[in-house]
Amino acid sequence: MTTLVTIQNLTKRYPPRNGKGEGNLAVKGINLTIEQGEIFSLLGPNGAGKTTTINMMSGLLEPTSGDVVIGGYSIAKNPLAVKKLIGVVPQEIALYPELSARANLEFFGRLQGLHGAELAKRCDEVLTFIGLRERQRERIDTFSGGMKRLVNIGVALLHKPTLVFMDEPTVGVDPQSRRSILDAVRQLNQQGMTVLYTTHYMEEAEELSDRVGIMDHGELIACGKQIELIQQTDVRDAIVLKFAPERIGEARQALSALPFISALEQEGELGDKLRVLSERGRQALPHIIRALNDHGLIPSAIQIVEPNLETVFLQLTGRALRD
Amino acid sequence: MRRILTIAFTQLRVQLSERGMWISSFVVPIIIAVAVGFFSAAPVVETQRLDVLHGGDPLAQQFVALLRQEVAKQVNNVPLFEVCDLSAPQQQSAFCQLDALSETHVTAFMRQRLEARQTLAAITLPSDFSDALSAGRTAKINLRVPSASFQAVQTAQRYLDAVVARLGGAVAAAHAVTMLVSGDQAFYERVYEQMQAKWATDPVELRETSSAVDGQLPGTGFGHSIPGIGSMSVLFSATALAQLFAKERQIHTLQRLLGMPLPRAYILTGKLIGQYLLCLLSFGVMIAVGTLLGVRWGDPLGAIAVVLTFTLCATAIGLAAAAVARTPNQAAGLGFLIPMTLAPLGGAWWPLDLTPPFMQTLGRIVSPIAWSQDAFAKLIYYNASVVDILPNLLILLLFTAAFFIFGIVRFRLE
Repeated sequence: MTTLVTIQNLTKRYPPRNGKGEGNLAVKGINLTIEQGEIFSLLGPNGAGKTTTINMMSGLLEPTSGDVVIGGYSIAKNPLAVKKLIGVVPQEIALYPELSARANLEFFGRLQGLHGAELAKRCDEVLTFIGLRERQRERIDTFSGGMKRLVNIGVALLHKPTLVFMDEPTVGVDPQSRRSILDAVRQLNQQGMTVLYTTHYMEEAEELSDRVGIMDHGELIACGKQIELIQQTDVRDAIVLKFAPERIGEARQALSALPFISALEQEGELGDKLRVLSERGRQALPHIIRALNDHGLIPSAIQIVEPNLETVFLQLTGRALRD
Repeated sequence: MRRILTIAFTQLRVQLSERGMWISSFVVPIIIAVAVGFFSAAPVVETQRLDVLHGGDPLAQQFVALLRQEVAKQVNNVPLFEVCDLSAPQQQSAFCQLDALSETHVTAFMRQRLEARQTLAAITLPSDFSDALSAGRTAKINLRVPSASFQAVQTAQRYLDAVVARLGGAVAAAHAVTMLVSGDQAFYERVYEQMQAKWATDPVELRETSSAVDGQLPGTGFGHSIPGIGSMSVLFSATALAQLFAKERQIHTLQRLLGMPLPRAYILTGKLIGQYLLCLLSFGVMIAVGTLLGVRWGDPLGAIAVVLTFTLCATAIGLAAAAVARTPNQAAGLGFLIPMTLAPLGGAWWPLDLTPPFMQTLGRIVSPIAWSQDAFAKLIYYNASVVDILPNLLILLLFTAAFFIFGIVRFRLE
């Protein structure tokens, strides 16, 4: 595999809003490489710096320091050459609602340098790919959220970019559209496109990625294949215990006294579950049950969860991914 | 260039696909311009009365005769005025409508006609008009016009001045010669007749011409309202550029454009050309409507030059507004404030000449509309050529340069 993207000490400090102070340091000296043909996911909670990183990589934001080299071109020195190599799917729907799906594609395609028969052919291909050929003449403002997301992706694919940036492309879409988008990402990758995918949905990163970078507070705190990350952080199984909501406090108190417990997270829609991380993994379960019994607490359900990116993130930051 | 035009035409297409844009850029301006045009239009040419009351003495009768000579001018074969001698009602034309006049109520009749605006002005000569002039005394003529009718005052005064100059000049000359030579009344009368004969032909003649074409009178209200409201409408369209940028930031299409492999200058130029085209379209529609309503634009090259230059200036103002406004609310506020300030100040709603001198000066300093309106007035009413309006075009270009420089220095696409 050849390296397509090299990020060197990439930093972004936004200017202070009132002109005083130092301003927000959104990205703190990231170093990263992305190989050609892989799907690389940047995983992190909202505000972790994922979008700022993508904006700097795509030339929309000027880095405070550092550089990004894509396909041999520096974004600082040769932004137009980089922009020809990349396709950007922004987090927000960036389309003209008054124009049809096809008119939007034709407009952005022309700006990418496509014309005439070539443009028409690519529009047809992209519309077929996103499954909207039948509705290509309809205005965007008549489309559902999921359909708009698909056109939003389609615009970035017109010029067959080498690298596609997808910034949280499934935010706010229904499960069916989400599935379509994830399938589309996989197909693009199979066609040879390299994908940089940002998300705060752990399941998406797990499903799609060859490698994952975990971002938090502007820093890349871990990077590698999923299995490597799990091994690196030495996380074990998590035990999820369910209690009556009014007794969850007591359970938390009882378990926090145990020395082998490394993290306790309350979760569930009713806040009636406790996720327990332990150095001993599932082997800690008998000790946990005993401790609960000593306090007169009996869980209504017990689940053992294999380690995943969520547990890696929890282990690294002490917080859940969606906090 | 291809990609710049792609941005420009797509922007035009997007804007024209909004119903609100059609209403604000085309429908409303046409309605306003037509309404203002009708409101301020000069009436259809018709003869107006000038009532004269006197004592019947010879010089007074001569005064009436001279007045008739003065007002004999016609426009489109229609006499502008008919002098109605209230002292000789039987000898007047039917147009004077003196049937209801009775000798006892002649003064009341005169006032009634004036108040009912059935006459432009009422002129009363003193009963001792001839005696006073013959004796070398001052004869005071009373001129009454309908209240607040400046036009009537100006018109009537102009004719009276001419008659008084002729009559008074002859009397003064006759007096002077008689006193120098003999002091004899018969000699005075002979000199007076000679002087009158000499004055029959003005040594200096004021020639009035009409710019009317194809039977249209100059000075119809549309000649002012169409370019005026058209200019205002162009300003509305141009300042919509600020709203357009604010909206495109909000719907993230601007960010997407910035991610395209093209220089930022292309994006800005494309947007400006798109807005310029929208403004031209807006002005073009107004000019077409004006033409249908009978406005004759004079030198076509001049009219095109004013439209192109003013529209460019308005686009520059739009860029300056976009540079200042960062949010859609700010953009909407400026989009209303700028046209609604510059239009009246520049004389888009009413002729600038009707405003006090300091307002005229202020309008010319701050509002490009003052210069475009002046150029249109010269073209429409005075048959000016493109050369005559070059100073206006130059000043409009200076405004354009100033607003463009301000806009480009301050504007940020992000």
